[in-house]
Amino acid sequence: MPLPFHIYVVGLGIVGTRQLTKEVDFALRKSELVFLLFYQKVLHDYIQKELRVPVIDLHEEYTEGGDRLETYHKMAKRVIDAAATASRPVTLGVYGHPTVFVTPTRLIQEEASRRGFRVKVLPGLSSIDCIFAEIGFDPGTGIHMYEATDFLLRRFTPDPAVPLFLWQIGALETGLYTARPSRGERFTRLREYLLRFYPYDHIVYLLRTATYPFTRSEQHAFRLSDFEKQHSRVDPIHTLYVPPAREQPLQDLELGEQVTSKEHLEKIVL
Amino acid sequence: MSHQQLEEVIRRSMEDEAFLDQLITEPEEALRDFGLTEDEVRVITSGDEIRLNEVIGLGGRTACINANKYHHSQHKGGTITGQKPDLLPRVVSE
Repeated sequence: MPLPFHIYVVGLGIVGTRQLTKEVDFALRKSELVFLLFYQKVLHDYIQKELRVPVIDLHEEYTEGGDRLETYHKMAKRVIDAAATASRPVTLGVYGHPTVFVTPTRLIQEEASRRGFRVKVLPGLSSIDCIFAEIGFDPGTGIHMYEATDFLLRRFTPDPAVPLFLWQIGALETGLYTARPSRGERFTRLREYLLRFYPYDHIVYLLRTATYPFTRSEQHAFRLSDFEKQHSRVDPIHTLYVPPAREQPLQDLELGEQVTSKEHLEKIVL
Repeated sequence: MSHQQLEEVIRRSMEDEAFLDQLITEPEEALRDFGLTEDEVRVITSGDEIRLNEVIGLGGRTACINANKYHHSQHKGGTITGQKPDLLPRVVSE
């Protein structure tokens, strides 16, 4: 029987084995080989010892000071090359969700398409999902979300009435990989840019969701003007949350009345 | 004490819901038979994830992958602590 998919690209959630979805677990079980970008040993052990599927840890591709994009191309090539010689599917499992702030998964899809491999992408719980749950955030009221460095590079304009999330704040201002801690100066440009839109004493938050079921998540509040002072506590998985600085008033008052009008409802439905 | 025992606590917490419940509500009791040192028990019961990762040798590991779109010209593709922001005033400052 031909393989329905040659490569699975799956999200593993962020809390060990507890957030594996059933479909991801199925994909792992039928894989010939699993490449992992997930740092907790408990998941490696689960796949190797319980599912009896060999695991390759792609973190070994990271080098201090190395260009992250080049590293991601190497990771993608390893997965594609393995799929070319495998008799069963090959899987890349990543922390969180496979298309949320992840590059190798996109590179694999592009290259697999060129080489005629069928790829199935399976979602996972992202840190976004976990953070929303922890802070009780409903994006239905509006949301800005950017990768932090990209936000600065393109000078996206935040609307101070809309909640702003800047992801990967700990990797700000570099496309190179490093595990070294940040200096305060790393955050000066971002602070100055945000202060164009938000008050000097606006309270912002460093958020980090727990990755073990018994550890604490973090919501650290500080004044925007004090950003540099937070440098020692920012790590790669922190997200910056900038709450709205003002409310957005109703603009369409006519529609405001119509949304609760039965007469209006009759006009817009069959 | 080995990190293996801490890893075993982590593994049990992932797979054994009754154990996890006890770890949260009666941590000393839940950890009694693991042979952990006092320091290790403190690491677990503190809920301090950074410290836990340091102890088991994961300190400084990057748990996420950066999008790194920088090489492309275009895209392809109050206090909050202990409170929920939707329970807080949306206007934090004017």
